[in-house]
Amino acid sequence: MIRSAALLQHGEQSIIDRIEDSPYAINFLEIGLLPGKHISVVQKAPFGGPIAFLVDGHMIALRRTEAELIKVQPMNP
Amino acid sequence: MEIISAKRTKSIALIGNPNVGKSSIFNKLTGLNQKIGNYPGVTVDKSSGVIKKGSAVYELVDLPGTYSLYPNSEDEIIAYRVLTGLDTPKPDFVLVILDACNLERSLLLGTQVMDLGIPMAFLVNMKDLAEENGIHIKVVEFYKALGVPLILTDGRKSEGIEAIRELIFQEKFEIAKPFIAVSDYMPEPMITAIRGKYGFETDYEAFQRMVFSTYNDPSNKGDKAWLLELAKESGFDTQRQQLKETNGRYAKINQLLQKGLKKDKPLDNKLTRRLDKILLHPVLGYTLFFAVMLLIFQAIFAWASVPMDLIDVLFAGMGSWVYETFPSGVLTDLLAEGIIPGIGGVVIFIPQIALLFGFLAFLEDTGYLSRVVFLMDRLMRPFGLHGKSVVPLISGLACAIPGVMAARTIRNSKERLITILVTPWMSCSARLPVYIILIGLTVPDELYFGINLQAIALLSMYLLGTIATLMGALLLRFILKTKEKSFLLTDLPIYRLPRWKAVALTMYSKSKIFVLEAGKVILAISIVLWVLASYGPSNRMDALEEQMELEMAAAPEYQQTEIEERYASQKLENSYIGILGKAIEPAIRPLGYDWKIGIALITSFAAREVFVGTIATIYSIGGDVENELTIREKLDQEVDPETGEKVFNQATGFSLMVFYAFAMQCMSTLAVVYRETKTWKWPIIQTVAMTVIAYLAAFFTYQIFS
Repeated sequence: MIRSAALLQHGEQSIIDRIEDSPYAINFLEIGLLPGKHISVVQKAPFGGPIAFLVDGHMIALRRTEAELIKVQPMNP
Repeated sequence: MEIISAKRTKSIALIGNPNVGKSSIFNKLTGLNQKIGNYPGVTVDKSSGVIKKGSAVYELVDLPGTYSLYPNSEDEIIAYRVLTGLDTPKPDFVLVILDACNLERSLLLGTQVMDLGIPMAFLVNMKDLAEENGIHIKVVEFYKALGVPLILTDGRKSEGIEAIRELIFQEKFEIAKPFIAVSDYMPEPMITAIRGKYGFETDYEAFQRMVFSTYNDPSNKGDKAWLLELAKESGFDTQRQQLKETNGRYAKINQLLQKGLKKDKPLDNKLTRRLDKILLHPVLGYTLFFAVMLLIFQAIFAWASVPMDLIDVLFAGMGSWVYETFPSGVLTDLLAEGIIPGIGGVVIFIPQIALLFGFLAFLEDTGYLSRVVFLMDRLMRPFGLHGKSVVPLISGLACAIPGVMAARTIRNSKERLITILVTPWMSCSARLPVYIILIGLTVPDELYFGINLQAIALLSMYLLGTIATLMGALLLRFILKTKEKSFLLTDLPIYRLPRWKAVALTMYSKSKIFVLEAGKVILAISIVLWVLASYGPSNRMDALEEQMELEMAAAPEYQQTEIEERYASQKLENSYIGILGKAIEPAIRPLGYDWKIGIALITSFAAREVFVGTIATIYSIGGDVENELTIREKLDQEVDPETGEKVFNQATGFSLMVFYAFAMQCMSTLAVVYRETKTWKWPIIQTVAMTVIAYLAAFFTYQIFS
């Protein structure tokens, strides 16, 4: 089941499936948000603020609108 | 004209991702041999240092951290410009710092540099952290694959620093083989055409130039059209090919990492993860941030006042020492009344600026500042600002100059411009002396529900400034148009203990920038003001002079100082600046100001704090002009000669404070905004708008309270 990273809940372990096309697709690549990487939520800022993700052990913060561009699938147990 | 001599100092550029420990390696290598200069063409501070051994001297240039050679912010453009030799000759060598814990990401930049064909070496930093996490780096494998020297370092513990020095002095840098084949991503004829036009030595430079042409950089002007036309003719989709190239690079990097890296377990920085559960928490996180802000306030108000008082006394002493030591004359007057107070007016702010930037450097070094961006982004967004606007705005509490400069890290140009335009409304330290003296005059020193009224008044002024900043931003959000989308994509680095030396270095360099930037302007203006205040049309001044001499001759000795003081204020009235003050009186009457305050408004256009000094001179206060109490007492007695009312009544005092809260009244900020926006359009609009708003706000304040 593929859905956006913005919908991830605390504790859910997922794998990045792909990054949707956008003007800042290159910035996702450059900061290391690549398909195949392990992703989970660390904290969500209140009132629809940014989300801090753990991506292969590195912490990256994105706004919700950007997180929606990241499509993830659940990690196989 | 540039003279190229054989003995030119060779330069080494230091580049790496943000938070990779670049500055600690830079500091370890250069020690205190650092300087802040300007890059030609672009006006961003260039920090460089010198590495010496015997007669061998190298210049090490610290480039702003970036994830790639495709810049996203004003900051990152520097790295691109320096490495491609856009303004100055290319550096002789490049040191690329890689993150041992995140080689994949840092090699993206690393291999881009390889493709530029400059002799280089890799430093793999934070090796101890990688070892703790069970990451083993096979140096030999990397060397075989990359063909470039590679040193394992730990900048915080000085490990590998000797090896770097050795590498530098023996010039063991090597030119890498191209990491990717540019022809896979760009048609050969295009590469040939661009290389031919610019005389590039490598294919990759051609590719890069093409990508850069899609940026809105002022240096693009002429070539942009040619490059875009070329892309169109060749059916070259720059954005798509750039993505392809980046993906291709990652694929090759991962092949390399398969061979060169052994991981025992997945990376997990437990401490950072646990700390972030608290520090980024929706409730606790904000509570702690608020506590940190309170501590900063405490520091810049309470702690800074001790050294500030000392500086005050010192400069007052210097002024009188000059008077006593040197023969009286124009030069002594200029020195004692113009230059020394001018320099003093700059130096007095150093404690606040150093403390604030010490705190910010501390927070940045620990990794907390990136979390502030995370916490504040949602709050800033409705106002057209970005999470990254918080740092400039907080800096604005000490001084708008470094605040405006800090806005460089914001990549969206609209958000950056709004931040630059509203930062001067944050209540800077130069407003403090103005507020303090006016509050002392007009607000009773009484308790109200257990809280001192004067403290409430001061706090209100700070709140007024902050609210004005946010409202101004909100307004600009609807006025300014942009097609650029705003986004937030930021690395939250691991938490580390701060390096005190680095914090101290930042305090030093920020204070230095302030002294140089603000100092130049304030000093020049204070000299001009001194001249305008000391001279006037000769027919008026000569008459006064004669009169004074007559009176002096007749009076007994004990009255002479009094006469001198009285005439000093009369001379000021008849000086050029006094005439100016009288000329603007009709305009400022509705605000509750007389011509004397008018003079102070004019003089303090250079810098707000000049207001206090000018007022002191105008009301002819003898002796120690820096003594607030004497000024306050004197001003308190000042009455309007016609109405007999107090000049500094509540309405006038409040109106003045409001005026200073809103008006630009700072030449240095004006100059910095010009530098940062590269046009006079914005600083002029900003000054006019701020002054008009200040005038209206002061007008209403006066009308309400009188």
